[in-house]
Amino acid sequence: MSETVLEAKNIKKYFGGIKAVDGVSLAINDGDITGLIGPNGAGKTTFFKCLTGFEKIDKGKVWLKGKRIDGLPPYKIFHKGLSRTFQITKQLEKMTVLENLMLACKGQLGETVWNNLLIPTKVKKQEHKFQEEAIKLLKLVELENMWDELAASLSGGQKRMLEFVRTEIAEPEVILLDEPSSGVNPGLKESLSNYIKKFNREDNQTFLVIGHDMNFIMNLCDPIYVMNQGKILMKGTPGEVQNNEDVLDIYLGR
Amino acid sequence: MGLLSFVIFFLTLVAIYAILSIGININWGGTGLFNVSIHGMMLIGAYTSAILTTQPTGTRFGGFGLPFIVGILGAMIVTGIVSLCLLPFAYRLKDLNYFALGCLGFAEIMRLIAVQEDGLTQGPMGIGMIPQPLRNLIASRFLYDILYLIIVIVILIIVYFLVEKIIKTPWGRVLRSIREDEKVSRSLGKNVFGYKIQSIVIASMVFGLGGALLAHLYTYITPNNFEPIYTFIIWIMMITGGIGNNLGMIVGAAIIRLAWEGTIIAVDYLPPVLATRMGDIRLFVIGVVLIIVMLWSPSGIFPENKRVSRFLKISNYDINKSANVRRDLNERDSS
Repeated sequence: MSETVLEAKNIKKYFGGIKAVDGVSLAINDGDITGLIGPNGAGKTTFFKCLTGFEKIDKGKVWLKGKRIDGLPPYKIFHKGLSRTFQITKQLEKMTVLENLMLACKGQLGETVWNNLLIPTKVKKQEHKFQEEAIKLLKLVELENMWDELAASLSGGQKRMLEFVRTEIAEPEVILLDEPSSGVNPGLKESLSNYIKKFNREDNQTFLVIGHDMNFIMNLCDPIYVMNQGKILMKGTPGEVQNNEDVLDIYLGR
Repeated sequence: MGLLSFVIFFLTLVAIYAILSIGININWGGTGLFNVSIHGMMLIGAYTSAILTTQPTGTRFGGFGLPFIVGILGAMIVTGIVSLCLLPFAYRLKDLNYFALGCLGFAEIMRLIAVQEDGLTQGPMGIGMIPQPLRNLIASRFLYDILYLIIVIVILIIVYFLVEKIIKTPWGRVLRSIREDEKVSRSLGKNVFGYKIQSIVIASMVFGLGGALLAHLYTYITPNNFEPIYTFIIWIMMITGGIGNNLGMIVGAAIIRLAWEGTIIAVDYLPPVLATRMGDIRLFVIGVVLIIVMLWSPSGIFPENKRVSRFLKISNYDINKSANVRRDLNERDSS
């Protein structure tokens, strides 16, 4: 039994009378690719925002590697090791692909104003190191020829890939992917799935993946949580989820 | 001689306005902050330097008789500290209107304080007899103006290189990411509010410096020298020159200043009906210049560089030579 790396307990988030997230608890084990599925409006993305600090949690607690992270601002949660993507790809359009990636590197000396004036050689050395790392990741997702182009010039699928490797470069404990497969063609979906598996296998990278796309999630994730109307409906292996009557009900609307 | 001294005065103003444009370029071009408090910051800088450098008087606060260099450094420090008043407006997520309104309100309050507080600023009378640096070295007014031009250009060069040195770095990259999408910078671990503070304070210090240089050029300042129109003129200089490009700031300042001064010369050649409406025609001319530049090159005369950091390996950089790929590419998992 591997240890729990991310744990959420009884998370509640209400918007007025709407119970967007209503007492969700989940535990993610180190090295798992956990899935979170549910119909539109089930509260998946809101739950994500609660985990990453983008929404204030009304009630509940979150632990990352045994340390409380609820109530922290998003940038601190990132530094604790929780990295996320967005449902709609968000790129820094007027920055190059390379610098989009390098922005996410942790512990950059040059992010302090005076370091750039006082110790430029150290900053330069570190920048070269990060550049190499970024190019390596770009090669992995076959974006290396675009490294010096503006992110705005990438196609939709390439933007997904860039966003995906941008979460990876900071070497987080857990990566949260919000609908990584939406707007991506079947071929690219396949390779995205393979990249996720590859990171998982070789670096023991833990993932939490939100999705609509049943096939994508079923092939990728184990275990899978099913959410409906702000609550966790069930947790199980892909097989169990696929054969559960309640899950079929909410998906097929029977 | 008359035309020549006009040219020198013109060039001095261009250099000072270039400094101010570089300042706003840190905020808007660098960080996406819609800062329209420039005239307020200039006013604070100008009055601070004036109070520090003029001889003691009994009618108002100060007159400390300190040297020019103390005056401009003091102006920068005071403006930097006062600019912290803008922070409550910057705290919210990217909300341009909210921040802009706060800035404009703040700057107008500063101007009204300057009008009202006789004991500090002598109100609408203004502060006169502001000493010029090294004035006693040269007797000739004309030659001295050349010296002041040189001093301003030296300061412009220093500001230009310092700003280039700090903005073309990972720090500037974080600022640009805030301009592009605040949510992304936050999700990538950047303390957005902290970076906004730095951007605002540094830009405001530059505005304070520009204001102080104007005070020492005019040697006499009143609150009327710092009306909101100057903020927008500096914005137009930035847009003309090319948002995000500091070299463009110098060119933009020159072009807009030329349009401005050109109307003064044109007065002599216009029928009286038009000559009396010079103020309106001036704004019209500047508007036309802006439209022409925008049509010709939407991103300004000098578009911004797509790369931010100057530390990157660019020339002859061969991606294939970079270190071994950590994960084997050919091995494709298709299970």
